[in-house]
Amino acid sequence: MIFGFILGLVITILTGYFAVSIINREMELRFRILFSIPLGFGISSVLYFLYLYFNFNNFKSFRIFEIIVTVILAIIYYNDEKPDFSKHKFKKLSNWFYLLNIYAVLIYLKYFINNPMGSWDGFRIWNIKAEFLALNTPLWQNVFSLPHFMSHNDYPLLLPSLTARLWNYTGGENFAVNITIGLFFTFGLVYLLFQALEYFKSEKIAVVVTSVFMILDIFLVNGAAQCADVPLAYMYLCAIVCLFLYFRKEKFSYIILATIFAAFSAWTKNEGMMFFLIYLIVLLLWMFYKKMYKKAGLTLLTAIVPICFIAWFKYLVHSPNDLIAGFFILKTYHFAFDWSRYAVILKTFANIVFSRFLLLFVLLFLCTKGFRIKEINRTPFVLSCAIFVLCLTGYFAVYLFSPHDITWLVENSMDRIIIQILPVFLFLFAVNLRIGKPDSNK
Amino acid sequence: MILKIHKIPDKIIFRTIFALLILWNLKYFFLIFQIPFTLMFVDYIKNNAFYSQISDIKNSIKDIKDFYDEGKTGFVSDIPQASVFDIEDSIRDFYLTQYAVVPAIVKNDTDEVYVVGYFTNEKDANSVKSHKVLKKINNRTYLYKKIKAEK
Repeated sequence: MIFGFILGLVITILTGYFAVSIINREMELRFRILFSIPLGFGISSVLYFLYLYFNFNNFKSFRIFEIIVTVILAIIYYNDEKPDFSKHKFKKLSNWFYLLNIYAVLIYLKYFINNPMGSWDGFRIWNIKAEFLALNTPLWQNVFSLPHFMSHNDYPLLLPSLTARLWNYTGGENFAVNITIGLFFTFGLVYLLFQALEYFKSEKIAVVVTSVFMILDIFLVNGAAQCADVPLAYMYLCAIVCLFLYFRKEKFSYIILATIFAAFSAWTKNEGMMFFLIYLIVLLLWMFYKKMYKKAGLTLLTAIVPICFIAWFKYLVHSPNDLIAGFFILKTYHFAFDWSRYAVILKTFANIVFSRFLLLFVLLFLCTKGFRIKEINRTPFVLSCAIFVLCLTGYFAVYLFSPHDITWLVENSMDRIIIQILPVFLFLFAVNLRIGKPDSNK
Repeated sequence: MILKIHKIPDKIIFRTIFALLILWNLKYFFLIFQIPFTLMFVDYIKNNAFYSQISDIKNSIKDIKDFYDEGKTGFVSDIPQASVFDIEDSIRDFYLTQYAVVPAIVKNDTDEVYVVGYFTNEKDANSVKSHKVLKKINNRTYLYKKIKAEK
C-alpha cells in the first residue's frame, strides 16, 4: 500500500519534471520543481481519464504504461544532457519562512483532521466523483449520471481523476492520498509565489507577502477542503509566472508552458475555461499587434490539442452547465438591469474581504514607498493585468447572470473565487513595489 | 506614486508586519502539541460523522450479491420527497448514501429494488409500504428491499 502510493507519487512528479525540463532545458531548478507539480499531476490525470475512457480495466498495465512514459521522457531529456547534480544547488530560504511554513502545515492539518473526507463541497462534488473514477469497470461512467444540480456533472475532472488514480496505486480509498494531494497543491502554490517574487523582486518582499498569504486561515481551510480552487489558483499563477519569465528570458518555450498551464486550468474547473479563453485572446491579440505571426501560430497550435480535448470532454458529459442553461433558457440576461444583484455582489465581496481576508491589509504597509514598474516587467505586467481584470469581469458576470439565489450563491462561493485569483493578485501587486532591496538581476 | 511616509526604514515596516503576523496567530500556538498527538494517537477518521455513516452503509450492503444489479438505489426519509433537496440535513443524507453505494446511482424515490431510508422514529421506518426492512443499518438508517421482488 505505502509502496504503491510512493510509486504513484514519484511517477507523477518525475513525469512533470522531465516534461518541464524537455520543454525548457535551461530553466532554473526551483521553477522546474514547482512547475513539475501541476504539470505532472495534470498529465497523470489526463492519462488516467483516457485509460478509463478506453475501458482498459487493467490497472497493472496502466501502471507499467505510466512508468514507460516517465522513462521515455527521462531518456529524451538526458539524451542531450548528462545528469550533473553539481548544477542543482538549492538556495537556502529565510529561517523565518521555514518556521512560518511549519506553522501553516500544522493549521492545514488541523482543518484536514476536522474533515478528512473533505469539506462539504470537497466531499459532495470532488470525492464522490473520485469514488466513481476509481472503479476499474465501465460503471465509472455513472459519474456523469449523478442526480441533482449540486453534483455539477459538467465539471472537469483533474482533481477526482488524480485522486482516483492514486487510490488505485494504494489499493483502495485512502485519505493519505487526499491529504498529500492537498499538501502538494497548497504549499506548492505558496513556494511558487515565494520563488517568483524572490526572482522578480527581492527575497524580503517574497518572505513578507508569502508569509501573510500562507498563514491566512481561509487559504489553509480551502487547501485542506479537497476542492479544486487551490489547484486552479496554482495553474493560474504558473501561467502568469511563465509569461513573466518569457519576457525576462526571451525563450518561446515559456509561452508554450504558460499555454499548457492555462489549458490545465480549464481541465481543473469551469472557471479555468474562462481563464484559458481570456489568456489566449489577450496573448494572441498582443502577438498580432506586435506582428509576431509565427509565434501566434505556434501558440495557437499548442492550444489546439487541449481545446479539442476539453470540447470532447464536454460532449462526453452531455450535461448542461447550470449558468449557461439559465442564461438562454431562463433568460437571466435580464439580470443585467437588476441593480439589487450588483449591490448584493459588491456588499458580500466587501464583507468577505474585510472579515476573512483582513490579514492581507497588513501588506498596505508595503505601499509606503510606492510602486515602480520596471521596463523589463512592463509588457508582462500589462498583459497579466488585462487577463486578471477580464477574469474578474467574467466572475462578476457569472454571479450576475446565475439562475440561482444570488445571496446564497455569493455567500457560499465568493471566498473560494477570491482564493483562486489571490496569488496572481499578490504577485502583480508585489512585483512593482519600491520597498525592499533592488531587484536581483538574474 | 510616492507617499509622504516613504522615509520610514524598510526594516521597521517588515518587522511591523511580522509582529502583526505573530500576534494574529498566537491562538494557534497550542497546535504544535495538539496536531502530532492527534495524528499519532487519535483515530480521527473513524470519529468523523461522514466516515462512520458511509462505513455503516457499505458494511450493510457488501454481502448483498444482487445489490448493484439494477444500478440504482432508492432514497426515502422523514422529509417529503419534494423537499429532500430543500433541507440541509436531507441533502447531506442523500449525498452520504450516494457516496456509500457507488457505482449505483441514488434516486429520490422508492421505485428501485433496494432503498436506503432515514427515519428518526422506528414507527415511521416501517411505513414504507412497497418495501420491507431488510437491515437496520444504525439508529436512523435502514436498508429496504422491494416486497414484490422477493416473490
